[in-house]
Amino acid sequence: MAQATKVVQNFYRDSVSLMQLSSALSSLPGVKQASAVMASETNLSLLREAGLLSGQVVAGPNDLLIALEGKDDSVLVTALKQADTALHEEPRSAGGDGAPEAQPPRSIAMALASNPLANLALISTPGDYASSEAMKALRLGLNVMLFSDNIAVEDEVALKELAREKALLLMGPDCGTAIINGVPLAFANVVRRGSIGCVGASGTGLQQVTCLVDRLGLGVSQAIGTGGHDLHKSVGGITMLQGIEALGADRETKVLVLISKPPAPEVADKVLAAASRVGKPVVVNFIGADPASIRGRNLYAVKTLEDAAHAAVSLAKGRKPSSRARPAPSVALPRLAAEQRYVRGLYSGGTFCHEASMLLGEQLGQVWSNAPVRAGDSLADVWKSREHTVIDLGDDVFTRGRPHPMIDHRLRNERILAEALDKEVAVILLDIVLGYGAHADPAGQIVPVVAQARARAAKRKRRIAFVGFVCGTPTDPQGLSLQEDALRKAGMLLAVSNAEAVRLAARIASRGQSAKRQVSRSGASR
Amino acid sequence: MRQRRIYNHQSAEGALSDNSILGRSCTAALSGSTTKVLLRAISAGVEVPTSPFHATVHSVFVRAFNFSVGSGTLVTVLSYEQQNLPRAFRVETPGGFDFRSRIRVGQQVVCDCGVALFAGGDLEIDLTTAQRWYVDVGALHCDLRDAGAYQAWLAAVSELFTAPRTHRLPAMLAGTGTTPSLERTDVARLLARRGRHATKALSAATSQRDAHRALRAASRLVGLGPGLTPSGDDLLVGFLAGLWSSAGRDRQRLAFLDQFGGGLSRLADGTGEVSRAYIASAICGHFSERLALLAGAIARGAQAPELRAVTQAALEVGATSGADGVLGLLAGLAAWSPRPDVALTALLPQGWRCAGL
Repeated sequence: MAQATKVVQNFYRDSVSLMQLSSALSSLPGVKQASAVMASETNLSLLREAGLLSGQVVAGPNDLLIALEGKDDSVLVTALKQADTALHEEPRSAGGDGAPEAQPPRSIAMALASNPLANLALISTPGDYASSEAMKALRLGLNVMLFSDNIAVEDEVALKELAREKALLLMGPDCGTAIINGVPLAFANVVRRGSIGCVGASGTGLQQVTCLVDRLGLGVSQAIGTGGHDLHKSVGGITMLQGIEALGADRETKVLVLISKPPAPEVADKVLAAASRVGKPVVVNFIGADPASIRGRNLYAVKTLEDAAHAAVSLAKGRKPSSRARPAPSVALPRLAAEQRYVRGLYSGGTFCHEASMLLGEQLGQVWSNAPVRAGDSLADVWKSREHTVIDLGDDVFTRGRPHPMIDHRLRNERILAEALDKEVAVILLDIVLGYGAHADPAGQIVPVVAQARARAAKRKRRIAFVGFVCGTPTDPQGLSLQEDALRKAGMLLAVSNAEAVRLAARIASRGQSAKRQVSRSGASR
Repeated sequence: MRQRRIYNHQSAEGALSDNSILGRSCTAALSGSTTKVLLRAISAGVEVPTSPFHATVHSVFVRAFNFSVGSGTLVTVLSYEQQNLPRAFRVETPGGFDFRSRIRVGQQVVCDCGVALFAGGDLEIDLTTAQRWYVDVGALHCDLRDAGAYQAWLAAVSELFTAPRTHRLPAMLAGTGTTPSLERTDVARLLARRGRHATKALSAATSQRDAHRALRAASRLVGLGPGLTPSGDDLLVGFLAGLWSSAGRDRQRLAFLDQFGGGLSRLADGTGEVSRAYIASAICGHFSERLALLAGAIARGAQAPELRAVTQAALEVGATSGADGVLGLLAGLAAWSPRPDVALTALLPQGWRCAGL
């Protein structure tokens, strides 16, 4: 066996290259061993002990040492030439052909450079980082959709004030839904474009109204999310006021819809004053607020999201919104045992849960919840229902360490099975949300569980009514009709909207008899 | 001093602040190889110079380069996708950027007003945009008597020894390299044996807080093995990370770290300059981002999915550096644990223990 060494002084190559070099040399025909290492004393001693190095080598720890053992000298000469070539290769572009490699941008500035026409940044990072990223985007002249939550109120105010100063829009924090220039952002649906512009502090509220507008044959110009805190006193409705102003000036927008839980009174005054000034009809749905408290020449107060969509469509068609009450859907009521009298609403959408709690409360009496409309209706143990209960499964307590229930149905499915064992349960009420961000096949997740729950109830000689509605459009990725067909086949009773599903659930639970009111006080009031 | 430093000291895990606003000019300058290129720094490790400096480019790689400041302190500049290091700046680089095409070894670097200029070159790096990055592993107080931390440590050990081969198992202890053709060589077998014996001796001496014996063992590891940063050095850095993470306020442990660090600093003359820089940082309690994150995850008893993710991230550094560093970290965390069941050798899979080492 022959041996050869080569020392390259002060030569630095990354470890991966050195390992590859050693490997390539070892694989050459006739080469028994090869090693390319830094020439530290310990490595020299190692190579000597391995029999790969004999005699003195003048080298230090910053030098690269290539040591070879092979069949004969010619093999080693070839190997050393190959090593030399590999070590002195000219830098090549990573693409190999001189063209830069396409890599995803790693910062907002890089993304903007690759697409200078972009005018909006969607930021979804842990809250600790989100404020600074939003600030960067605003300073780069971009509108911002801030999906992240856990941002301090003072940061939210600072960001929104900066956005206003720069005539930009900051949607969020905790803004889960928007449709800007026809593009659905985050959890949003594919709706046709049209003349109805929405500004909402509620993600699922925006989704419900925009989907229903689509179902009713019209379209949406813009759907601007404000984030859940925008209408708090400390923030002052900055984004909603900007949204009203923007949609008021937008030629495409003929009718505005405002969606929120009841704002702080002083903020409500500002918002309604701004809405009164836009010169266009404005439908106002402050969910849970008394519609009579909303007054203005061009303002149309509605009680439910469903009413908001209907009123907006009517107004866009040049008609006065109907004030007629909407009846519960006419379906054959399932036969239930006498003790089955309670509704259990298991919601993935927080606003749907809030609306259901409010509407069910009006029709059936007390409704317990983890996110109650009235403070006294708070569930002591959110993991266990009692009497009439509606649960917001998107609440932090349920989503800690797991995806949102619109994406991951497991938690709700477990709860469905648990509710099915309760002999007093008459109706399990569900929302099924389609669109971008949501599960690719929600019906596929729910149908097997509905069957399993029914089987569990059947063993106990009971039937349970499953009532739901699909918040989506025919052009959503999941396909509205595909989802609805699958759910109907599984025996679910489907309504068109949350409010309609609640009316149906209340009618079933009360056997069409004893509900306080079987119809909602629907319609717009002015 | 005209330097426009806007560093923002972060106490843990490198949160950004809005001080690090990146201007359009950065990216506008990124296209075309004949024009001036301005890169902006994203982060700066705790040990990088904060005052004007003159330096010389020491070594250049595709996604990083080192420059030597003053008395020979090496500072690294890394492209954005690399992990933070105590003596490194991370900079925004465009797709396909190759430092070798812009910088050459021996080039002079001047940083006077926060922008590093390269003599005769067309590259400038704005360091004023960097956020200070710093993780204090000394504040972790990792205690493997805590059930959560112990489970997390076990999970990391398991990940190290059972992860797919793509995660580059530690060459020394396992007797395997990254490539099958190297594993069977006499050098690899010897390397594994030496590394194994030295690591065991280091752990034993450390557990008895015997700095002299620990240094004797460390001397057999310094500069040992393949790679620009030899495996033995990577292991020592990881080992120090484990010791710093578990030293807490224990006087004896801190005294050991002081004595051991002093000796190791001298021993480190026996390895290359790049590796020596990492060891010097480790002696001061400063470590790479991924090692620090793994130490933090173990200390707070992170759940399995997170633990798996941070361990894999730590493993996927360099060729064997990541695995050797993780091995060192786990051994270091175990060294001062009173639990008899945390000895690293007791946890090695049977196959590894019987590898003839």
